[in-house]
Amino acid sequence: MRKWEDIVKDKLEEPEGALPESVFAEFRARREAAVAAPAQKRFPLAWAAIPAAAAGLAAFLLLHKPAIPEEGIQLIQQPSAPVAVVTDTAKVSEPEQAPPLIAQAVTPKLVRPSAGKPHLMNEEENVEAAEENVPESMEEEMPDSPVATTTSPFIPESAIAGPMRMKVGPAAGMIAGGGLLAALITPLLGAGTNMDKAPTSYSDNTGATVPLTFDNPQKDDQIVKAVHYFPLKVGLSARFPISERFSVTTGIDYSWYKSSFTYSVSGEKIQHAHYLGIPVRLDWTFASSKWLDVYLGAGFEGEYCLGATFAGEHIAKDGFSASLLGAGGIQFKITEKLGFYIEPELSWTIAPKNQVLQSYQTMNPLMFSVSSGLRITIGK
Amino acid sequence: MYKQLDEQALARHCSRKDRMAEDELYRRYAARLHTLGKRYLGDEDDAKDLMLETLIQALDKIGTYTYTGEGSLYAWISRIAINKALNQLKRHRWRMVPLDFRVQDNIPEPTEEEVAEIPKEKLREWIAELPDMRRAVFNLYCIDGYSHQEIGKMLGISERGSTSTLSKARKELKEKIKQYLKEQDR
Repeated sequence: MRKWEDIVKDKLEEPEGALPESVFAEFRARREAAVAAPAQKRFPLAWAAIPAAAAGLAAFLLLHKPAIPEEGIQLIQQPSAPVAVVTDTAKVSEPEQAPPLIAQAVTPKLVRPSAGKPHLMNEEENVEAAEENVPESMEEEMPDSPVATTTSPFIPESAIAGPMRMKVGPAAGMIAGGGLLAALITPLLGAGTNMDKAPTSYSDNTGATVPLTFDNPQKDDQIVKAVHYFPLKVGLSARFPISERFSVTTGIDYSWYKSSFTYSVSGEKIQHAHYLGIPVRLDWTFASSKWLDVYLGAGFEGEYCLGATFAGEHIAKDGFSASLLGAGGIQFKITEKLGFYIEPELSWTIAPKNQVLQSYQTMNPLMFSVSSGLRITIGK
Repeated sequence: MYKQLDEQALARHCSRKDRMAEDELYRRYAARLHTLGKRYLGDEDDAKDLMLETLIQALDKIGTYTYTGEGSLYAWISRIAINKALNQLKRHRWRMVPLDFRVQDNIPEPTEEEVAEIPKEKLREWIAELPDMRRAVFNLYCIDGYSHQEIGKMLGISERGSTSTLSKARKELKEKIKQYLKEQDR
């Protein structure tokens, strides 16, 4: 006995009938157009345009030279006038006047004050300096003056009065970029922080050891204001689909908590705390397209405090903590297996036993945060 | 002359941009491709566009076709059409996952005689009414003979997801068949 689907198949595979002649005419027209103009691969070019534009912008920013060359003022000696031959050697000729000096530059030369002689100029001196008619040869006489020594009709006023420009060369860009990268990686790896040797306490007047924490940097110096900033959360995530709509998501989350404490005596001090977390979540994808997945998830996260600094000094850090998570999110599919996600997340943190830090998380155990990062899908 | 050409010879003529051979290819397969397009996309205009685009692409790439036996040319062209139809479904429509977690399929299977009574147009109409994903899986598995593993790869879903979607599609169609037969009995 045949299955009902087989009968349906037989019925549906039969063509419905001949197509109208106009469809054939359309086919012919399209085919001739396709033969005349072969299809071009537009997408690779479109994708190549993005990195090309980014590279162009980066090159412009790195190699851009200011319109005004930074040559400074150069005083150029004018060629001497021909001297007449003196026949009478007994007659002493009068000393010849120095040839005029002409400024040939477009930007004023900024001269640093000499070391060990801080330049202190009061208001009266300032006014006097402004009113004084400065001679052209002033630079030779006053080499340490911080003001522009020469004015020239060639120098546009905007170049003199305008803000100082900073030119960032490729080397400086690389150093700054490397430094930024190192600053980001260091807390993640915990390298070079020398946490064990960092001061974590101080001795008060009685000789007792008082832990150096957020609310006790010095005796009698009390917190008058504390501001806990919204945390920054980024991560690398992996998703393991277990069915069409359910998947297990895990990975590594880095969280940075910043807090500002204002003390009655010592003023404002900033605390930074860095955490590394491993979330495990069950996600339910309720809508999906070629480019996007929209999902809800629930699970838990274990977090470990990598380190904390207070006013630049390393301080005692929290231990391991755990939290329950509920998240909704959107994942933008870069490729089939790689995506960029943004997840508004609600978490409830169970305080660790050895909690010493105060942060946005400890002040708000039921915390809302937004996490983002890259996600790899492993499996189907 | 061209009507007598076998698939291999027709493909060879088409690869030489022989206009008469191209027209013969259209006459042989256009109607079938149009039917296939309607099954997958459920819309007359979309089906016509799919058929035309498929034939144009097939003629452009006919140099890559390898003859493997009678029927292999249509199998090759229909694969192009199916891929195009699936891409269209993925591109233009969101795949909303319905909230029915369990499929309780207690509806008895229709008999051979019952299904034979149903006109083709009704069946086409019911399949066109299925949600995109269910329609695609039903067509791929029941009509075009793909396995769940292949369907999973083509649609970017798991094998179990394909099985589950097919169950829902079958259930929906069986309900419509039963409903139709009831109305006919009255």
